[in-house]
Amino acid sequence: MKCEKCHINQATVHMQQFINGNKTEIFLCKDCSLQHEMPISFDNIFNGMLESILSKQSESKKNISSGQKGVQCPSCKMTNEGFKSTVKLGCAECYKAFLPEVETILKNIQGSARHEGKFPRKSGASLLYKREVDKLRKMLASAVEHEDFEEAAALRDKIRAIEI
Amino acid sequence: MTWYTDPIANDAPIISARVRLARNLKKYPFKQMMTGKEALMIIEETSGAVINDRTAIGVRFKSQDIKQLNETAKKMLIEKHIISHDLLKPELPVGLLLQDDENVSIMINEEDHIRMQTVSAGDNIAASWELANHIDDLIEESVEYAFDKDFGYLTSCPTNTGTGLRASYMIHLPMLEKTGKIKFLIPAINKFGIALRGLHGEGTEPMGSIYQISNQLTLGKSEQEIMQGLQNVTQNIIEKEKMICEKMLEKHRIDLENNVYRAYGILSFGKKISLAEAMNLLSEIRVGFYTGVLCQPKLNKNIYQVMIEIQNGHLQNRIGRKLGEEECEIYRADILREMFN
Repeated sequence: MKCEKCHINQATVHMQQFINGNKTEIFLCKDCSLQHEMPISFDNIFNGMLESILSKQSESKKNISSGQKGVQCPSCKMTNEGFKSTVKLGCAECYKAFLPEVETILKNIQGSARHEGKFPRKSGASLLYKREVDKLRKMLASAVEHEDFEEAAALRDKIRAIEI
Repeated sequence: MTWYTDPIANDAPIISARVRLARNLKKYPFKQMMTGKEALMIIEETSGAVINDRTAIGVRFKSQDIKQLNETAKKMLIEKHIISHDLLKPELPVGLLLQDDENVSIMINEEDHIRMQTVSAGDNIAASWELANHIDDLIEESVEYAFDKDFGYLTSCPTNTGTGLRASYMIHLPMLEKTGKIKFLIPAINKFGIALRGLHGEGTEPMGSIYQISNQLTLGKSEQEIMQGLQNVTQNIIEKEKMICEKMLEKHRIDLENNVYRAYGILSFGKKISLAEAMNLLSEIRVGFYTGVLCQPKLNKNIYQVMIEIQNGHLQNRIGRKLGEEECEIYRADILREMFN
């Protein structure tokens, strides 16, 4: 008798399964029977890790917006259409020239549009400082808007301390 | 010691740990829009930034002119995972900087201006990262990278933007493959932004049950978080692999032994062997050694090194001329017989 799964090898294993009281029988070769054994579930092996990653991935599911036609990068002359057809950027300036599209693409494929990793050691120090000040200014504006003046004063002092 | 020559990696599923960083120079257009002249200037500036006397590591690098290499030499670089197929496309001038032990390589003008990779034997991804980070700092002393405070390192393709980091393990998963479980594993780990693919990367069939597992997402997480995520998923996979291996030893020991010893027999006496068959048999030998089933003296060689040495480019280099497929099969069997006798 041939194996009922691969239909090539000789069936040497007789398997019986009882699922919800129903009995099923199957005749398999040695190789196919191994695939039937080892009932290890892969549904729950990554419990806990799933949530943190999926929450990031679902942040943005927007489609790539059509963008303005005829937009061209002032530096390398890459066009909006060229970028969309290849999904490759032409130079560092393209990230600014096609900002709405770039942001949407990054959120879609990366789940985020904000770098949390390394800053270049030499040229990155001033950028890191600018990013920190920008962040504090946004928090300050929000504190003022919510009339949380105690928090606003603390943030203002922090910004002053950094700027000095 | 070159990563694939270290026999310590024979005893565990993880063969090597690799880190790749993608970087671009701020003042030049990316690959998509650059001219041949600009490509040459990028090669010159990057080479100058790496190969210098200022640091101990700089003097260990040599620049290789890829276009001048013969077909065999190019094949060997691919077989050792030092360069990608894309680097050999004839569109623009490209460069390669290679450290003397081949554990660090820097491709110039591949998809990005700079693609540096560091590899270490076993599962020490932290060591690979430290080295890559150090070389990255070294290069940045001489050039200005394309970088944005919000988007991070700017790359040609948005799939690498941010950290530009691809961290990966080369991993041997014979039991998950044999029992068909790997099919379920691939979509499951994709949900975590991790990809599992065949030996030579995207779209390739796995040979010798060897896979590459790597992060897909490069933005929104720090380098450490990315590597930690990869480590966590990989650890889970290894536990499943070991669990199946233990069950096989318990329930089907004779079949496992049979596979290992048959592989040993063919490798010891075969007169002609295809690459795919040899890789699968060497995979069985690896299982035999780390389960302790194979009682023959252990090979004093990293099995992955053998897997590299029996590929066509390496065979042609050993024989000293271009070989047809059948000749490759014969020479491959010769090498393996010698090794296993």
